[in-house]
Amino acid sequence: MENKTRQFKQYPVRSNRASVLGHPCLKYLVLKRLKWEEETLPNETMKLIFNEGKLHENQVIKDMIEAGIEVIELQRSFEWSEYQITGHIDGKVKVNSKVYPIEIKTCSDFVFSKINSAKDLYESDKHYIRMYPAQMTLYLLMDNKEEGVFIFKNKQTGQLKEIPMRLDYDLGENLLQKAEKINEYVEKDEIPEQEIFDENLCSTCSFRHICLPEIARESIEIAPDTNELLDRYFELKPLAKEYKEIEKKIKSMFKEKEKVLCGNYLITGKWIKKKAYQVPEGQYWQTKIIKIK
Amino acid sequence: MEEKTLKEKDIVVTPIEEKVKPYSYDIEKIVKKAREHAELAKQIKLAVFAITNQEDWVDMGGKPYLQASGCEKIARIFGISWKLEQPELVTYPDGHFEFVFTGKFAFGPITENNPTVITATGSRCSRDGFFKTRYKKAKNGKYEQYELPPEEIDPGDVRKSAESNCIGRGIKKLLGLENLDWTELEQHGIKKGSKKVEYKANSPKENSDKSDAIKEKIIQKCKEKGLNDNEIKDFLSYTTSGQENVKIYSTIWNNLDKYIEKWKNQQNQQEQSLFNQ
Repeated sequence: MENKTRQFKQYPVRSNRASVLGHPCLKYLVLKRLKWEEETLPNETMKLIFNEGKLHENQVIKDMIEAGIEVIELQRSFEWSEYQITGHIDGKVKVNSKVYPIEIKTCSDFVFSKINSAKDLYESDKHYIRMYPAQMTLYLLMDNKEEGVFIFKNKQTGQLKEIPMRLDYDLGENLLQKAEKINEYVEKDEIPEQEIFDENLCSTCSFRHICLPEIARESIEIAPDTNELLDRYFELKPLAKEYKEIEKKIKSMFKEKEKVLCGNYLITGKWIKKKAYQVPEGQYWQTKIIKIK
Repeated sequence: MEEKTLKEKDIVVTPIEEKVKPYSYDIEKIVKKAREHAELAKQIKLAVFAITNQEDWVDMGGKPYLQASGCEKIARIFGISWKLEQPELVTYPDGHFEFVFTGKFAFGPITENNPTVITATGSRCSRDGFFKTRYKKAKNGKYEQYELPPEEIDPGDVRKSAESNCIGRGIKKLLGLENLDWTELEQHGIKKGSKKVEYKANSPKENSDKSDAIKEKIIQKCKEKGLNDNEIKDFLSYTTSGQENVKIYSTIWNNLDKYIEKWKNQQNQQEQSLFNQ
């Protein structure tokens, strides 16, 4: 394992990488340029995940070629010197004389099932997935193309999924403005103030020890003592479980039996038609109770 | 001796409202609050035991130590906020260096009116085995341990660890999770796991002698600066958070003036918040 993770090293960052320019924090992007040597490397688990991703990526290319798809310009580098943007694209596919840039991403089963269109990438709750459209947009702009394709691989099942994405001019404009801003700070050797605080983003940020963001949270609420109610809830909980199990068994025993006399009980049954309806989208409050004493 | 009989008219009854209180603050209220705090502290501890598991705890020199990941997990649930200052970089004559972080921690936002605000420090030194120890393959095929010189140790790693150390200590101080023992944890279903950290640099006896010597120097210097015995005791408890070792005492000794100033500020803040309650 040590051998696998040893190859991760810090390299000087002299440009805005297309793969990270979609990061929501300007301070992070400037630190990436000015304090690259102080960024923490990914932990051992993350290093292994990245290694696995690389292996899968190579396999996807191999599979595509074996399937007869024409894959060209593998790992071609790009540079847009005016904005100090660089990147390298996984490859391009040629379909009916048209060429499309491709970007291969590997993901978990959970993420794979959630991503079915470019819109899902923009709206993902994971910031690193929201960065994918920015990466593709920059490749399309630098390669003067209108459309590109993401190929997602489910690491658990090996399934592949294509997500086409058209050039988003608004996003492109925002990214170029962002790159200009970063370059100005780099030129002045200045680090901007922290503009955003995102609990998930900041707590795992590789520059947290440099940025030192103020972690501001609302304190836990101390509620008046309702122990009696909660104690009773935990007393009844196993009984409720047992009740449900027995009910299920009884219903299964007497299924499709219209009238049965059983000891002290008369059991009747009939078919009930279910009406179809759609559950409207919404939200609900999930309460979790942990017994501490 | 002249005997005097008091008549009813001689007795002046002062209405309760006009009675002069012996102190400007209400003792009963403070005692009640202290009891409530103690009960709350007990509840917090129980909650921490309920939401952490064996993986979150590590055995450090025979004592349970809640790891940084576990600390941050519980900090989210309890709504603990913090703000760290830029760290101090202490350099030693042998080239080794140490990052010392100081931060404010509280339940809820860090404001002047929040009575739960506390200060904690945390540090890591490049001399720690974790940073300087490496392994290389020897001719016989076995791996040999060697030490990196200070200039080859990544300051970013040391800084990051010092930051985590400060956050962990702050959270634990706030939640009253210092000085726990395995018996207490085992009573709540958390057993001592296989994760273990041992200090091998010096024997416990050597370490204890060294830390005692530095501690004595600190006490002497504090006395010279006019602190009385109780104040010195409080200052040491504030700066060490109950952890006594050579590293902590060396850091305090190297930054004594600054730490005394911080401790005094903290004292003033605490007094202020007590009166504000």
